[in-house]
Amino acid sequence: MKKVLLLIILFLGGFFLWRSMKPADEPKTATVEGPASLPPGNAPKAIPQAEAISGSTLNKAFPSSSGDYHLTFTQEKDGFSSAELTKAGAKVATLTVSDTDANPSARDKFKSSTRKISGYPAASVGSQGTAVLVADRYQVQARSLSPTFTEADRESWLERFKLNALAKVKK
Amino acid sequence: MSNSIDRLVDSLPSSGLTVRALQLLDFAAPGQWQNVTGFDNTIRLVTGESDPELLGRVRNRALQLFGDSSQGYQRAISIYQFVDNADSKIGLAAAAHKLGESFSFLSFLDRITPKPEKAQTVDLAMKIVAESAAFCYTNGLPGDSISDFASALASYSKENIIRMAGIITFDGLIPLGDAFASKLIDSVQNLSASDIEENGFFQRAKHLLPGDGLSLVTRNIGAVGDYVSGFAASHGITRDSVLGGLKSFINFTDDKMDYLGAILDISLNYMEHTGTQSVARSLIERAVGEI
Repeated sequence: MKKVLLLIILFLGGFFLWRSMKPADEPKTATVEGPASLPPGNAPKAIPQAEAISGSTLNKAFPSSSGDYHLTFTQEKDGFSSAELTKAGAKVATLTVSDTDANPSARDKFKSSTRKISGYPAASVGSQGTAVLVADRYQVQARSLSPTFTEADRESWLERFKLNALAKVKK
Repeated sequence: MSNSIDRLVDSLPSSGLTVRALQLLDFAAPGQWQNVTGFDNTIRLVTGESDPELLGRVRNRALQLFGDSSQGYQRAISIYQFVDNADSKIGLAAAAHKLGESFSFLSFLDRITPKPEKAQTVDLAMKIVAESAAFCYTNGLPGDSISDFASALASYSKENIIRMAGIITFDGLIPLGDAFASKLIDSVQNLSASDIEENGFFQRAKHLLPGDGLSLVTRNIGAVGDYVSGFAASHGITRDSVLGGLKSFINFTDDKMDYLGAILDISLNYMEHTGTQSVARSLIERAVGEI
């Protein structure tokens, strides 16, 4: 535990120093818009990533570790937060929350969906992912990393998110 | 940033000295690292998907996120590139790479000067500083509490853990011996600002690093010494165990050991190689969560 604490100090020290020293005048490159991602007609316009809801706010919607399952946060950026779920030390799933205002086309898949999870529109993301759209803005997704983590498991873990609290989050 | 992440991952080699050296460390983290190359291949593996339309959307989103310099991924890549391309490599690196899978470095001896121990410990310190900065640029500071963050670090796996094993082995154990951690800590306590300023990586990357060189190094290493030495012990890494493996593809004799650290320094780019893979993985995991 001592080693872990020492390591935390290292990384925290580095991180906060980095934050405080971050050049203020760094030019922000515009997000590249490939032809395939151009919004059609009157589709909502993407906001710059940096203006999306902070990852630390999104973290609050995640469920806690439970039973044999252990949740570990893995990435936190503007408009995005992710965690991995392990069971007996093996990674079984990735859980994410994203602010679709930064990528509005993510909402399209929910428009034709009749499925609901905890009352929110649900859709598949490929063969390994299940997602819900909360307040027409926040996409909460569970992705299987192991065949033992089934679609029913994904739905069950999506239900454990604090979806109603997330629906009220505004900048 | 001259190259996008797809081109960087596409150009990672599937063989060569760096790959063989990393494979040698498999015993320290069994099965954790496979040398995944090619961006589309990486997307398939990370997402577990095969539908071309979905994979295309993940790719587009990953490239968008990488192209936004405020997201930190570009900076992480730059740090990994700088830390493996310090001044000492220029000139010799290209020649060494041309030798391919195995070689004898005896023919290079007249062109190599082993670094003094102090410069070697600064190199090791800088690898650790680079890793902590690149981790934060890539992943932010995950979680809301210190225990969340500790968990994220404790779960270092795949490319991340093999890179940490590389730092311990190629920049710690081999050039400095089994007592490398205590040498690192002792040496850092007596460093001056000019010792850091003379380091090739620091000169090239200081605009990307958080804080002035000396305080950055002393704070980082003061905190990480125990972890570094503990990592070697807990993963069963000793100098002898690694030297035996290296001898299978690098021809050297025990009386030229002083040169081995220097030749590894110029001929391996394990930080850039696995760092590119780590950034790509984090980007893809995020992209599939956002499409």
